[in-house]
Amino acid sequence: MTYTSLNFIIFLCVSVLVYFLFPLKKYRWTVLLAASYFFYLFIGYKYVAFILFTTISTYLIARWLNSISVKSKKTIKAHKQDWDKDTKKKYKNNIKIKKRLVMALDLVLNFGILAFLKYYNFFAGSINDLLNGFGADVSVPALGLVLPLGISFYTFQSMGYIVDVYREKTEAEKNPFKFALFVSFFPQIVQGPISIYDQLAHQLYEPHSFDFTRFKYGVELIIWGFFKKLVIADRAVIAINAVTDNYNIYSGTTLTFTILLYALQLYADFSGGIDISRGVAQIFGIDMMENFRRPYFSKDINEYWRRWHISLGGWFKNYLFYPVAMSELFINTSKKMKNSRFGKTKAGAHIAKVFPTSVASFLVFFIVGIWHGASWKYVGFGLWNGGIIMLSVLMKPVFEWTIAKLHINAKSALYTLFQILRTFLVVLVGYVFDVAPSFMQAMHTFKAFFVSQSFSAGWSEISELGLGKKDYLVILGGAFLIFVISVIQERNSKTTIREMLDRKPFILKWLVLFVGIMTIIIFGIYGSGYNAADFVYMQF
Amino acid sequence: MSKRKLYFKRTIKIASLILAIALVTAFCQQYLLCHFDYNKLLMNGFYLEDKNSLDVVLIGASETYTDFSPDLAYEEYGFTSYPVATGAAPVSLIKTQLKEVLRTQSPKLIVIEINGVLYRGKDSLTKESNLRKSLDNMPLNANKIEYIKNHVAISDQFEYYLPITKYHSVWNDYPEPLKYVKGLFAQNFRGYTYLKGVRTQGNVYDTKQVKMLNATLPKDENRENLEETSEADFRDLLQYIKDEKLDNIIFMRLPHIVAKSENYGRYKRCNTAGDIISEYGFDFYNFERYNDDIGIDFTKDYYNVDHMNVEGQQKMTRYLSELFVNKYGITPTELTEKQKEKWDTCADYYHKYVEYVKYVAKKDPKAKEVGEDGNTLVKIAKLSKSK
Repeated sequence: MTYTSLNFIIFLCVSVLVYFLFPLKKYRWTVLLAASYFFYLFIGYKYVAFILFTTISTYLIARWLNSISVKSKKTIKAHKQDWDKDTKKKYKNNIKIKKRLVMALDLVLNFGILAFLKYYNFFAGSINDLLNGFGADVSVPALGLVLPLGISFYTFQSMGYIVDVYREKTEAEKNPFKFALFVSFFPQIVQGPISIYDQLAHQLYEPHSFDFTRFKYGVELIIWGFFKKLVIADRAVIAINAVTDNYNIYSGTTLTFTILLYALQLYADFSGGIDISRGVAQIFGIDMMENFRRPYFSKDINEYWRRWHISLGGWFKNYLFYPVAMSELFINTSKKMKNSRFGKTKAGAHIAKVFPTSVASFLVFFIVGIWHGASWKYVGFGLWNGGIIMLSVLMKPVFEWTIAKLHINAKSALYTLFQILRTFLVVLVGYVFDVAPSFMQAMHTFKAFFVSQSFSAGWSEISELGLGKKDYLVILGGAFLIFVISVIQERNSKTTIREMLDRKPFILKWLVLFVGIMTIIIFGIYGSGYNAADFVYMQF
Repeated sequence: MSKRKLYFKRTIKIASLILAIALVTAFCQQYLLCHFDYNKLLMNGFYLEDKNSLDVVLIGASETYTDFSPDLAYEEYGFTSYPVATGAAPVSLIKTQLKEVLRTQSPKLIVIEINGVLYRGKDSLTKESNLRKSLDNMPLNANKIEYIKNHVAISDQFEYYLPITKYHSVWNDYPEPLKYVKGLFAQNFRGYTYLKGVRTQGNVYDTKQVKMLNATLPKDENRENLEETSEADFRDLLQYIKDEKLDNIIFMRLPHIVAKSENYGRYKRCNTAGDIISEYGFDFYNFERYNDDIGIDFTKDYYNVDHMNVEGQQKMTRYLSELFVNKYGITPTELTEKQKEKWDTCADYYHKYVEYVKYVAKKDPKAKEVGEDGNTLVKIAKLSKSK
């Protein structure tokens, strides 16, 4: 039951009806919980034990953390008079260590499961390659591991919660069933966004009444998501798959085209899916965070990662970047660098200042790379992004100096366009690692960009990728529409397109909806597919 | 605005949007985004026939619409008829086709051609395209639903109920389907089909390509088992006919060029099928054995081993018509002036069609079958105008 299947639409309609007709308004959240577990069991009943384990372990450990905090506060209060400052500090430190250990237990357990399932075979394969390279006749066995549905998303979301409870930013949820809903909420389980407990949980538990405007906006967002996914992404992926299935036979021109097409496909697929998730949540009266904010309009790579998969970036920023950048080790190293002879120079002072953030950024994006998949190509993806971000932070004064020397107006439209194109190019280079079947083939692609560009070969290859001219026209039209909508959104950050549409006359509003739905019905890629050749009369 | 009024207004708005989408989707499904071929035109033509206006209905697979011309039968014998037949229709479909015939017509005689009983191999029995050529062109009703429920995997059923979910990508094939769209609209606008589903050609099959066994068939009693599922479906059909006491049904096997190939296998299975039909007490005519009576010249009357060309079609039509009239007493139903006018137009048109088919064959020895699509209508009109 994917989000774009008929089963999902039926399931959603039933869930919405039951939710808003549920007589015990206070307990409407139980309908969402039941729907979420039904959805999970329907598509992956074999793996329900994993999500249950994460839910139960995180719930219990959060309660444990909470009780440690409460108890420690009571103890400090009780000894307010008789403890001196040092005893109080020592006690606080002990509590901090204890809490840290308790939190670590949950992190190790849950990230351990994720890492084992996602990376065991990758590491086993890499170790075997290494040992075989040295002529050793031993091998680490590969296991038939399958990733449970949404494990990355619900694990990250739950671990964010446990860290927030540890930091006492959030109080541990008392009701295990309510917590189970936070972990399993069906619109976000498959592909996020990775929500923060404080932002999402209270919305889930609130008894929402039916609101026609929210319903309308939700449906409109779902239609837009369907359009992006079914009309553009699922069509473009046909050509992309054709290339990746026989990667080495294509010219540099075709590979360049494929990377460009992938940029569109990935954005349409991922943001389309998130639009569906957010639209579904909105119908229930729940606002989920925005996960994409026109990322290809970014002027630098840092901005790109603040606009692309925002919830993942936010998670890493909160739970990895800050703890690393603000750690004693990094702060002290920065100080040491600043006080050294090197730190007295202009360049040295800058490097010492940005050292914690640049190294932390590198680390974060290296891990983001690996998060995308267990393969050396994703290590390459992470290194590329992390390296570029680190360089951009370290080299900032050089760039500023160059702009000043060349008398470039940094606020001009032309320069902005240059920045956008430059960033897009950097992003495309990263996508090469994503598209190529392996790290070595990614390297082959870079070479092909320079040595095997052939327009005529590319043209004939592109026409043989399983898509006809009309399909490419549909993709182009869809991309143009996304572009126009994005420009409007970029210029009107305070109003959504849906709100703008709502102000238009009734006929125009419904015409847009009608055309949108008919476009999906006619131009969407769904169903078993039709090939006229199957109907050719073969047997009389 | 009161709350009640607001809710009412919203409900109307939503309902109107859903209705508009449903109507446009249904229109696209019926006329623009479907699998277009002559089967669609044939089935559409059948449903255009006036209720209870057909004297004879023939059910079967492709040879039924290549080997028999209702227009010629009408012109020379006066009775009205129609072939409810689609390409490679397996036996499982016959019961549904029969029910559809009984739902819309009350023919004096129903003739079932048994080619669909004789197929071998699971593929030909359950191949999606073979089923869809017939099912997609039936209106959604109890008969269609019953077939889908009993013969289509649950996971695939939705696409049969709402075929646009299968064919929505047909826009990619345009302008190719336009000739069928034109033909379909022309039929609907006219209110009837000229050729009654007939589709054949004027070329002649070169029999030197095969070692024919037809001369020995009248004495060939070899038998071969039917495919297990085919036999079960066939017996189910026969039992249904018996239970419903339908005494106006006969079975036949049209003649083919039989060589040491799949067709000989079908011949042997046809003998077995004949035995089964006898078990249930129905009339069966194995015309594979009546070549001389019919006057078939295999070197002149076929355009491939299974299908007769326009010359063979005329011979077969006359032979079958004689049988229907003389043995089964088929007398023409009294038609209204309007109906008579329509059938007369069709009979005239058939001559133009024959002329055109022969003209095409003369021009191109590799020409394909000619049916009643939009382009052909224009070409026939041009040819007859030029004369």
